[in-house]
Amino acid sequence: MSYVAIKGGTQAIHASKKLFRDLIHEAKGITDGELQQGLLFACDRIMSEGALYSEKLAAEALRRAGGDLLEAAFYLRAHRSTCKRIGVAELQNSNSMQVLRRISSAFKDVEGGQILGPSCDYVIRLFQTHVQDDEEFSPQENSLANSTPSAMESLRRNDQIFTLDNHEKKPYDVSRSFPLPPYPRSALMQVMSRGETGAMLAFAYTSMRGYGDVHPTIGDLRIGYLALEFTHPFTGKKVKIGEIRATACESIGSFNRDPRDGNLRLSTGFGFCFGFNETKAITMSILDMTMHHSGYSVGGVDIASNPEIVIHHIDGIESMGFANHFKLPHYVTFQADLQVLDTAVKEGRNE
Amino acid sequence: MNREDLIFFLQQVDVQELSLLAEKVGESGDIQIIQQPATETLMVPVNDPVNNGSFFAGEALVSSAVVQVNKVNGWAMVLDDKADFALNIAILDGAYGAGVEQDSIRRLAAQGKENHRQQKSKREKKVGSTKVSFDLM
Repeated sequence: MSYVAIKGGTQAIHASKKLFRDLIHEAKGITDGELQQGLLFACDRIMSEGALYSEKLAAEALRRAGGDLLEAAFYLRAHRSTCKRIGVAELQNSNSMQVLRRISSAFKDVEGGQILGPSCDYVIRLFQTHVQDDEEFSPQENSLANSTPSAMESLRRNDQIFTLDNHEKKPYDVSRSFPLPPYPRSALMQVMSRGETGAMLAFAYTSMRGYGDVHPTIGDLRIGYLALEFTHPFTGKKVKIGEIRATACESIGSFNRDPRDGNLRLSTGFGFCFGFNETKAITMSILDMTMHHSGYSVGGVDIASNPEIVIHHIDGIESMGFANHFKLPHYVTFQADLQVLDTAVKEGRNE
Repeated sequence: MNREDLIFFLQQVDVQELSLLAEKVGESGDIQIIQQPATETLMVPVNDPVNNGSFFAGEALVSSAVVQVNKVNGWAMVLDDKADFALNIAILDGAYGAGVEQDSIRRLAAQGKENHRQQKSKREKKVGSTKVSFDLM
């Protein structure tokens, strides 16, 4: 082991924790509701990366961590491990999402329409207020469809989409045990769904830039609300217990030969996460595509198409923990390093 | 209104109103708390369109409680850490099953349904105004 047990310092540790609380003021004066609404995307990242949907605890974690999103996600992940798991909710299908925003870069006209929704895509990133002022406009009243099927459905109907084989009877759960390679697809998807946005973006970006060969078209990108349902224990019927915010993305790659019948079909990737986080859903769909279709690998050496690399390096809480453990006392091991250095120097002089 | 609809729509009203009605149920019926409200988690599986399989996106924090009203079981589960909602709605669920204060419960749930409809309609109006049809150049 590269660290040793130490003792002492209790008072200093108490003082350090108090000083930390004093430093960040724990966002005093800001209510949970204000944090949940005003810092919605921060709270959503915390829930997604902490793998626990709780708007209340996400705001509390944000407060306690002074805005550090990795630290806040750690609070949720830790809290998750203390809770009894009561069961499995009904299967979520992104096609039944009540969309706030839904766009397709592949098709101009799609069933349900292109809905820009709330987005900062069209904001000029300058602080000067006159640049931000919107011209006077009268919002148009447009009706929304009750359901908005994925824009990919037409391609599926025309048998133009490559469907991967499903060998799993039920999805793998990485929070109970971590799988060995070859990794089940559901395990990879779960790890990505709770992965750290920055890490996933970085890996996907390697493939986009050239250390891979993905340049996808966004078939369907949506944010919105999904009904969370469970079975009433006394009536045995389905009950809606709430609505969760979520983001889903289906991206389209190039065509591949389907080994099952030799026909050419388009490969696709899927991304899904709690909360509103388009960057994460897009990058997840890209990583999904690169890992499951060898055609996107360049020389077989790129990192984004390697499940071994992706599955072990995108969890923010694990990677943060590893990086931060280096701060812990390593006094004895470092003394050993110095002794080895001294010995090497002496040996060098003697040669 | 079905008994199963109560749980979501009753969450759309103020918890004080739920509490008042639960107290009223207590005056005309016998309430036994079988399981105090507790926070638990539910796994959230998601449909995977790439292989027609599924995977877990994470867990949702829920609060649930179990009661008996006149020996009839009542249950509620609500999203997030909301013990007060879970307990009051469980009492109203049990009362509805036991035929206690059914009209009042139905009225309150209808109010919740209307609150939700108004919120949704307001949101849809705003979202609808961002619908776009691009022209090709």
